[in-house]
Order: sequence, then C-alpha cells, then structure tokens
Amino acid sequence: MATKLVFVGEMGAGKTTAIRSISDMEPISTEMPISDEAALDAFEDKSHTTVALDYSSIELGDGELLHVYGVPGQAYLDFMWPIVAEGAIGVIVLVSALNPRALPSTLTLLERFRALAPDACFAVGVTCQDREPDFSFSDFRNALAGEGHRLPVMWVDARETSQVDFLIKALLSCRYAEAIA
Amino acid sequence: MSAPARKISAAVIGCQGLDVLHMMRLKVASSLLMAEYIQADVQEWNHQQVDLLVACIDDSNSQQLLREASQQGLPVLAVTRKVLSGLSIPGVAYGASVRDIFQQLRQLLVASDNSGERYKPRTLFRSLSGSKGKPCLLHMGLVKLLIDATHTRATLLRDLPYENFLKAAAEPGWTLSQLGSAEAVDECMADAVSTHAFEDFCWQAAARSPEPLVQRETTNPCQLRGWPEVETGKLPVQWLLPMAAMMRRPWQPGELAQATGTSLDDIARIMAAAACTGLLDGSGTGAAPAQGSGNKVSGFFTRIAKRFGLNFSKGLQV
Repeated sequence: MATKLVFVGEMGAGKTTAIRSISDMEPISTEMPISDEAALDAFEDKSHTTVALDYSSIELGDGELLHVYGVPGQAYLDFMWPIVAEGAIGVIVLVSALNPRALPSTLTLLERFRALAPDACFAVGVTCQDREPDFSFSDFRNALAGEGHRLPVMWVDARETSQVDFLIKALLSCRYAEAIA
Repeated sequence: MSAPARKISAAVIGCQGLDVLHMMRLKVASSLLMAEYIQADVQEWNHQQVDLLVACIDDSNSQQLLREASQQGLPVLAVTRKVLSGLSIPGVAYGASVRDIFQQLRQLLVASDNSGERYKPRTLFRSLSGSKGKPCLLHMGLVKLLIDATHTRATLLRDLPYENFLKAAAEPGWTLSQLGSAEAVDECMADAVSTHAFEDFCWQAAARSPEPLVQRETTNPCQLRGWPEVETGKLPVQWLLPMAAMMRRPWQPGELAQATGTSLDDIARIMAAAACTGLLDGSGTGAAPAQGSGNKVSGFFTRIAKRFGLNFSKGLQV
C-alpha cells in the first residue's frame, strides 16, 4: 500500500526544511557538516547537508502514519532511490532556483522516479525565489511540459508550513484527478 | 418594492482628426451617456479596440481611416463639412452642438441594443485582449500599471497595496494606452514600485472576482497547458482539483464541474484566468471520454487528504 511521501532534490533544495515544516515530530536526519569548500561558497547560509536520508512521519489518526522521506538527488546516492520510492503515493521534486542545472536535474529526477514509482503522483517545488529573481519560472515549467511532465510546478518557501502544505494539497489533488479523469 | 439596479456598462469612444472645439463637445456629449447607464471613455484612436470611432472625414487620410474602421467592423460617426445626406455612414455637421453629437452617440451605442449588455464593462483584461506585442499602460483612477509586450510581467506604478490592484483588475473603467517607444516605457518604469508575474496578477485577480475575467465563447473542451505561476497558497484550495484534472486532459466546463464537484462559476473563472494567461489549450475537437487511471482511491488516501484538510468525497471540500 502507498504509505510514503517522498521529497527528492539536490543539495540546498530545501528537503530537510520542508519535511521539518510539515512533520508532527522532529525529523530523523543524517546531516553532516559540509566539508567541500566550493559547496560552502555556493550555499553560504548552509553549514550542514543530508548525507543519507531524512525521515519523519505524519499521524493520520488511529495510529496510522504517513511516512515522509527526504532523499538526496545526487546520482551517486541513487542506490537509495528504489528503496524509498517503493510504495510512494507522491513524489515532490524540490529544486533551488540558484541551481544552474535546475532544469536537467529536475528532468533526471522526474524520469528516474517515475520509473521507480509508476503509481505515484508528482509535483515540483522551486525554492530560493527571493535569492534568484531572474529565474524564469515559465521557461522552466514550459520546458518540463515540453518533455511530457505536465504537473504542478510552484514556487515554495520550504520554511513556510503553509506553502509546503499547499504544494502537498496540489499533489493530492492530482492523485485524485487521476482517478476521475 | 424597488426595481433591480441597472448595471452601468462601459464603452470606449475613439476619436481622430477632431479639433479642440469638437473634441470638447464630444467629451461633454459622452458624459451625458451616463443617463443611458453607459460610462464612455474618449480616447485618441491608435487602432486600439474601441466601441465607436468619431472622426473628421474631411482630410485626405479619411478614406484610409474609413477603410481600416470598416475592416475592424467598427461603427464610425463622421464629423464633416460635406452634405450629410450624401454620406454612407452616420454623421454630424461640422460645428454640431453637444446635443446633436449626444443624440448620434446614443443612437449608435444604445438604440441597436436595448438590453444594455452590448457594451460589456471594460475591465483590464478585456482592454488587454488583442494588445499583445506592445507594452501597455493601464490606469483606472489611482491604480496604474504597466504590462510588458509579452504579457509576462505586471509592474505596479503606484505605491498602493498589491491587493488594491488585484481587486481593481476586474472592475470596469480601465483605460489602455499602447507604448510605442522604449523611451515611453522607461518613463513609466521610473514610477515602478514592484513587479509581479503577469500570471500571478491574473490568477489572483480571478480568485477575487465573482465574474470570469473575460467571457469565453469557444465550446471546445479545454486543458491547462501548465500550472500557473501564482504565489503559493494564494489560489482557492477548491480550484486545485479542477486544475489538476485540466492538467490531465481537456474538459467541457459542465463535465469538469460535475466530475470535480466544483461550481460552474468557479470552472468559468478558472478557464477565463487560464485564457488570459495563455495557459488554456482549447484546441481539442471533442471531449475525451472519461477514462480514469484505474488507480483506486483508497481509504488510506482519503485519510491522508483529510489530514491535509481536504475531502474529495463530494468534489474538493475544504
């Protein structure tokens, strides 16, 4: 049964923050200090990064849990993807507008996770809007659609519970729309 | 018992080649149209969309002008020194009084349509339709904004809350001027207060307006080309399901309303917002049959939805 919600994205996309903002419990995280000088320069307000998984859960009542995972999108960690993707009801790809490879990175993640979780619904959240005002949202969205990924794409501030919550509402609406369309 | 209030409609009267005297008389005559519940706005005609053109036809360019107006199907009221009985279009004599002009305006704008529905309120989005390709300056009272040539960005030119712009967007009475030069754009941008995605402006305005932003006449089933760029959380949650369904396939409005448990009014507002932002794909020739993915909605899904404040049992109840 589909009991998982998965957030996936590259370093600095906001997975850990997004999960923390909607969770009932403090997420279990495998964060480590960033050791790469170049990465420290690129993410100036970020001192730690997730090296494996984030895990949290959301209570649905009567002891039922929705398991929430955050998975790094770096290709060298892709051995974890099938394990996490199995049984996912939805996958949210988070991408930072600061990422110069935002489009190819998102396309790769969507393609890989669609193959791993064919029954899951997908949505894309673009973060760091305030730090990259020149990011062309419409070009990004249209390019995804051009590759066959017609799905909700939204700006999201991962620190804002209401915004992550809204993105999940859109994802769930897509899931329900699949059943009626 | 009082009679239902009659709505004030709006008309734009273009003018060309009028001298100061006739221009002044035209403006006064236009203001008298309020007696017919028509708020008329007189603008210099630069080939923009207007409801009536008042033009002096005595100069050498007049034949060209009349041809262009005819091509657009635009009614013309001529001001001329020629013999009126020899004209093939309605006209008033050079030196005509305010009363003469008013009567002609009334006849042209009102007499042919007693329902009062012909001149739909000139909202921002009605004014904008057909203006793509040139930057447009739009204003209504204190509210003033610039829309770029590709209808991608909306720049607010008054230091008022964004909310005021969004509420005003669906109200009638907007005046549009196309900006023909980079200098004119630069001059406007000197007053820029903030810039927003045009999609955000449209969709948030649509969410606040009880009426669709524009009237659509196509009967083709419609699909969403992409998810609009709207500040997250600013769309009504009830719109998410019909929007999600429109991402999957084309729908007729009634069919979509029924399948998603959404009101037809909301569906019309969504489709109009999509049309205004170029996100509506109405190229479908027939409604695709409802298929469904075969993905059953489980009780577990229902409980997840409930946890996030959604109830899909009768459409999307929040």
